[in-house]
Amino acid sequence: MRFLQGILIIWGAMSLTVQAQTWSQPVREVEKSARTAVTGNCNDVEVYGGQISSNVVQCNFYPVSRVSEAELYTRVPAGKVLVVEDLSVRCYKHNSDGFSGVFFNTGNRKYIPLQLQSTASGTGRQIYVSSLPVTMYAPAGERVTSSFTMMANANQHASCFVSYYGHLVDLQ
Amino acid sequence: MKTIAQLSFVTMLFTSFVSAQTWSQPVREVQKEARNAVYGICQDVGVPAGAVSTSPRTCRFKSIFDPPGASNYVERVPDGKVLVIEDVHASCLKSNTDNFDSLLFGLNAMRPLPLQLRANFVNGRQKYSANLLTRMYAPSNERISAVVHMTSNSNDTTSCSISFYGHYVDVQ
Repeated sequence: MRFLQGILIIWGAMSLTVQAQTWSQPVREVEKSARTAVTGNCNDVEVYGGQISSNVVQCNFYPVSRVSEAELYTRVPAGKVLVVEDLSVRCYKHNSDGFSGVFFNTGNRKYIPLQLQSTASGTGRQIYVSSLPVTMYAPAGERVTSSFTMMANANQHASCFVSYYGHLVDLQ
Repeated sequence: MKTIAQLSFVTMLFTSFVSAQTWSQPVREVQKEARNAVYGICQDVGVPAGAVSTSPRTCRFKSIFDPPGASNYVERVPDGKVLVIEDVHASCLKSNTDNFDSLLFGLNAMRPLPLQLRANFVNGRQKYSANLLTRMYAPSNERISAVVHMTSNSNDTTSCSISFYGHYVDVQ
C-alpha cells in the first residue's frame, strides 16, 4: 500500500515538473535579419578598349535605415558577419566583345550568370542583367569586391553595376 | 488495492500525455512573416512614344488582410517597420522595334529585373515578363519605385506593371 502511494507521489511530481517546463518554454523570435539589413553597391566596374580584365572595385555597404555617413562600410565591422542574400547586376558591352565572367567576392569568389536583355540597334550596345538569391558570408574585416573579365581584349568600353542586399549578424 | 492500481494507471497515462505534449510542442514564433504579409503594385510604369525613359513611379502596398480598395494602400513603409520584399513579378508590353535597356525596381529603383520575351503578337507588340524570388529591404518612411529605360527613343508606347509580395518586420 505504501509502495503504491510512493509511486503515485513520484508520478504526480513528474507531471508537475513536465508541465512547468512546458509553461516556461522560451519564446524564439524568428525574424531579425530585417532589423540589421544592409544594402551595397559596386559601381563603375569597367574595362576599356584593349583591356581584358576590369579593375577590382571595392563595394561599399550600409544599413538600409542608416542615419549617418559613419555607417558607410568598406569592410565588415568588427564582431559581425555579413550575410549577402540577394545580388543583382547590370552590365553593358559592345556586341563584338564577349563577357568571360562577372564575379562577386566576399572572401570567396562567386561567378554571376548573365542574361542578355537587349541589343541596341545601331550602336551594337548590349545590356546583360542578372538577379539572384544567394547565400554568401563575409567575416569581420573582410572586403566585398566585384570584377569581370572579357573573352579577349575588349574592342570597346564595357561596364557593370552590382547591387546587393543582406544583413549583419553579431558574432556573439 | 484494485482502486489504487487503477488510480496509478490513470496517473501514468496522464503523465505520458503531458510529456508527449511537451516533446511535440513547436517553438512559439512571435513574428511569423505570413501574419504581416504585404502585397504591392507598381502601375503605369512605362515610356511614351518618342521618349527613352520617364521619372520613376511610386509603388503602393498594403497588408494582405486589408480589404480591397485604393484607400488601404500606402506609398511609404510605415513608422517602426521594415519592409522585406520576397517575390516580384513584372509584365511589360512594347513594340518589336524598340529595345529595353532596363526595368528597375525597389528602394530608389535600383534593382534590375531580368525580362524575358514571352510572346510576339501579330500586331508587332511583344510581351516580356520577369519572376524572381528576392530579399530586399526598405526602412521606415521609404518609398518603393520602378522605372523603365529604353535603349533609344521609343517608336511606340512601352508599358509595364509590377506586383510583389513581402512582409513587415517591427524595427524593435
